[in-house]
Amino acid sequence: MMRYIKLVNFELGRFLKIYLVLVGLTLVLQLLGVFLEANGYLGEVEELVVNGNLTQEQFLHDYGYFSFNDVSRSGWFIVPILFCILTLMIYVFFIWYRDWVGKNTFAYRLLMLPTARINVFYAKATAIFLMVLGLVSLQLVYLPIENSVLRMMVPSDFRIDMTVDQILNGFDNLRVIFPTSLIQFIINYGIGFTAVFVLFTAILFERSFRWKGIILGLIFGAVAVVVFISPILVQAFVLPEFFYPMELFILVVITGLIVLAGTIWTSNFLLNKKIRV
Amino acid sequence: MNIKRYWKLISILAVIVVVLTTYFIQSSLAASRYPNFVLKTISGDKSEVENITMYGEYYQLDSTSSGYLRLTSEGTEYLQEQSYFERLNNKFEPSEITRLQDEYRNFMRSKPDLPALYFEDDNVVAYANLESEERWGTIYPEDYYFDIAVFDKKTNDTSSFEIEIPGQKDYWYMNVYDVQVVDGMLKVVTDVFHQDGETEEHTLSVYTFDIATQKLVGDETVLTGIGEESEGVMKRTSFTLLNDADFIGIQTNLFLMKEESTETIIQSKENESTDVDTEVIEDQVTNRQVYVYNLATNEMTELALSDEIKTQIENTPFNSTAFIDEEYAYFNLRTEENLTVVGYNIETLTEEMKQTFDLANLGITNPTIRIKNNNVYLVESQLEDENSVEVIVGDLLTGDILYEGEIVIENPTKEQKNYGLQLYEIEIK
Repeated sequence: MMRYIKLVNFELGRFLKIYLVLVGLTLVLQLLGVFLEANGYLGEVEELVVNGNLTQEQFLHDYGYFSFNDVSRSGWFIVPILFCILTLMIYVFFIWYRDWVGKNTFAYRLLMLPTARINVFYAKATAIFLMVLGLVSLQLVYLPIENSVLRMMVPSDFRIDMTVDQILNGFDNLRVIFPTSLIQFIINYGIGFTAVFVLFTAILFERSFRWKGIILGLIFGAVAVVVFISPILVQAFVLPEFFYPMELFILVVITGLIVLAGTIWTSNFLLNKKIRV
Repeated sequence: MNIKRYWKLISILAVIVVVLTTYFIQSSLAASRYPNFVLKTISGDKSEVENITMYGEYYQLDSTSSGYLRLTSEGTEYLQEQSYFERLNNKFEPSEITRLQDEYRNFMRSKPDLPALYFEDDNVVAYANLESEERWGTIYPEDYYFDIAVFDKKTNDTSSFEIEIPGQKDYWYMNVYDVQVVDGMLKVVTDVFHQDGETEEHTLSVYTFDIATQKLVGDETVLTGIGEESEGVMKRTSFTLLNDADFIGIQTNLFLMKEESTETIIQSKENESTDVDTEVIEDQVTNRQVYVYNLATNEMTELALSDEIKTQIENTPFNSTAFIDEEYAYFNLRTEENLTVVGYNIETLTEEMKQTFDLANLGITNPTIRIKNNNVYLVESQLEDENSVEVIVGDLLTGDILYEGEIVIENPTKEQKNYGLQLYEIEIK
């Protein structure tokens, strides 16, 4: 247990600099987005209402109120989020491959530690999970901060105030990252983290068998997907509409746990018997 | 253990736990983002509206926010605010179908959730549907057979069987309208299209199955009509079942309408330069007749309608405004200001009831009309702006207004003032 905690802390430390850059960059770019979007809107107010001949009502009728939606639907807001997602997705691979780079491969030392090798696998996975959830949490902290900056900039006659929940509802596609219900949250991230486990196993196949391993990894991934959605396939093609929604849900949870157990067992086997340094 | 060495792990964990816990506690405590519509009584007794369930959609006019709602005298529920597991079904619960699914779990398995295909009384739950298989090598599309299942509530036995429909070599299309059980006989009201050379024959048939022996014992043709085309004029016949087919209980009398219409295709070559023919189709109803068919006795009678009703039903799409119960067949006649309900006694086939309601005076312009238990229920079907939705219950025997109320938002917020509400389904239990 202690070994595992040490390894997690170690893995976090190795990525800390880049992670802090992600954390800072997101806040800076999003605040810049609030500033620029609000300034652009206020510029129009200045031009058309203060200096022009539009009344405040006419302006609001034509241009609408300013709200956080104007910020959250702009590139300034979404691009940093997408950038964080992309960086972590690349790091899912790099967290393994960095140990094999260089003359004295670090993987050798890592696997020779006096602890079960599967702990290395768990530690890397945990580090990824913590970093994903950390970014999600920080975004939830950023939103009220950005919201109050917006309030300071735009006079209340020209804006509609939104709560964090209303802002998240405006996200549409990004809503999947911030579900309202705890169950939906567990389902979304459960599927996501299971996918990370499957990817890790595929990477270990490659590290064990190199070129042949890529094919084995792809096959493993395909089998995992088929097993996971097998109740839905049965419902669609073998026994049409046989299961009630609740039964289908339970079956998918079971197949999901089977996939999870399968990846851990396979990874354990590969790490202990097949891995090449 | 040296805590300082683990500051990275501890701080990221702390951020996650604190933020996510706060977020989920907050979102579970947050006030509903949908308005609470309530039925406010203006006059009359609230018990008159306890059996009404309304389904509809609410939307905010200045944003994309909208929600599906179910409204009763108790208050409003939103589909979007049901729990995750209730939402798996993606429909309001409990409904008649979900009640059957809960009570007869295995019987209802693999069966579609269309209430018209089910029947229930004290003894049985019955289901009948048409299934089909591709018929290769002919121009007719499919081989139809009945898929039937009956659950006996006394013995808990299910008998299910499939029966090929005899003599269907020229059947084009079949469709189940309603399912009933009368004295151990399963009756399936079916719409059938035949093709006989150039002409198309359209029949409304009642197939009778003996549940005990699992055999097809009767095939009664209730209504027939011809569809054909000659010299650019297309004649059509269509049938409408005016009963509430979604009601799964006993309905021995079928209330049927036969409609004959013509479609005239007028070809005009207006645009010479592009050489494109424009087709104008002229639709005209030539005849509408109304019948009552008794499933127990297989007797059919045409209702002799007064000229007033006959004119009205030939000029208005009226399938949503005629009703039947065990005693009366009802018609609704609308003018600008008034609604008149005429009731025919099914036994004597005479006009026995006639009540007129002054809609203009009641402040209702475009109501959805329902009739049940000798009461007429009127609900304004939609609202824009700040008007409220009127709900009226009238007594058909005396012509009195039993209840007058309106649907309003309880304690609306500033943003909720500008909304739309559309009610598209009214259920009277």
